[in-house]
Amino acid sequence: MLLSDVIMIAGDTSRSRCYLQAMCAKKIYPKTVIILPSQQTKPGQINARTAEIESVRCSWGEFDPSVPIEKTAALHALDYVHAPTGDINSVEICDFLSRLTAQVCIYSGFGGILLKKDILACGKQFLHIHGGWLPDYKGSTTNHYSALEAGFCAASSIFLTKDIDAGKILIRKKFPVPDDPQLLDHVYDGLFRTEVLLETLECYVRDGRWPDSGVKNKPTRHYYIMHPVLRHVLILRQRGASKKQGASK
Amino acid sequence: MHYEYSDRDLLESPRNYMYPQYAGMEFLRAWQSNRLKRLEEVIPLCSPDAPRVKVVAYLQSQEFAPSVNDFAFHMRILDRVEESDTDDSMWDETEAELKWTADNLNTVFIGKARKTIEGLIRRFEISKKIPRTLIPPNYSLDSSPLLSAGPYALFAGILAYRQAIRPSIAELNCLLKVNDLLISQSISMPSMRQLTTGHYESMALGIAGELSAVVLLFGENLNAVV
Repeated sequence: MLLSDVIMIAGDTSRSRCYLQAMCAKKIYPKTVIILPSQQTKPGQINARTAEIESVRCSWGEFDPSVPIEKTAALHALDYVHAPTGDINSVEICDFLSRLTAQVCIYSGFGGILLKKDILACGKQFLHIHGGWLPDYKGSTTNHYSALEAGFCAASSIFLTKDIDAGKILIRKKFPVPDDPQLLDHVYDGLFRTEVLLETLECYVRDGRWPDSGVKNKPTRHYYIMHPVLRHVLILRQRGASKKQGASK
Repeated sequence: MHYEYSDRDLLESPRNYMYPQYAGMEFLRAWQSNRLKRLEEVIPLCSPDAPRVKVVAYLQSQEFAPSVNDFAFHMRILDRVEESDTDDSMWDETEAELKWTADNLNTVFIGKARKTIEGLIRRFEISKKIPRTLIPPNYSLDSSPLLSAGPYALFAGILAYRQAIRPSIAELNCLLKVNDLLISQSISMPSMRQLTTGHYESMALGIAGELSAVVLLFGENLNAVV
């Protein structure tokens, strides 16, 4: 199904690749894919080394992190265009988007970039899938924190507002911590977010309106980029736990 | 393996910590060595009878693997440690507040001290520096950042205390980054001039507390594995 009122604006990151591959696998197509260009590898983008990550089987098919979004778009004959600049907060992008008729943008940008008030006021709603359980885990690398603190990962869909991770919670879902959390950044976080994106879009297609979880997105503490020492603790602890589980079976 | 996260001047050129490479146990060994080396440098600069140094000595005796209760119990000794060996009348507001809090650690979870520390945690995580003056609620760096290691040492000691009493992974995250910044300043650098023994004692407490908190978080016997 072609969503005439929904476009996608995305950097060519592992997450964006997962989103588009999943949407195409489910035959839910954005009207247009706008690709944010970048000349240097930006946070979240696959580089030649991480492209060694193999394909992953998941509920909707197979995610291949090495396939650029342009290639996926071309393969499925989607309308796609390269944005005039890679800066989502630029005047050029704001003007470009305001000329499009679609009302909703699925947004999947480069890591660490926040949308500022001008782009948020350009007349579109930005659908974002936060990699964490809202409202309790706001901010950055939140799945790493919930994995370490509480033994789960999650994703939550929201429409972006000027405040970080504060929009109405459309759908939220928990997932088990992967046996190998080293793959959280470039594989599993994207897969979790993709599951919730698909559910959100399927609700929209089915009901003709965006879902509402009914959960109040109250102000809570923000989490900040996890330090490498804590990441290593998470990975080693989880691998140790998985080994023990495997041994006891 | 070299621990790279404190090998450049982080006051001059902060890190963003995004997408680090995974390097297994070797990385944790490198991190422990990094911390232990700074501790060896700093302890001789402290007063041996200072309460903070006694807490550090206790943690060292436990190979930085105390039980949860012992960690909190020994930190509680520092609840109220008045030290007036310095003339802090010329200090910036933030440093003076941190000094007062470090000498009155029993206040860190209540009232103004709590709000200030939690605000500084947010500010440091965003900007990797803390401001000279305190302008809540954002504690922005408009007043220009502090560039002496002293306030960061006090901050680290306070965070280590909070970690022992009320463990928080989010705050341990901040403490790790503060310690990276402190260790990025070699003892001979300008930022380390005019540090008092109190500053060095807080620095030592910050490192010892961090080492212990990570071991407790790992669970089973990180030291044996590393």
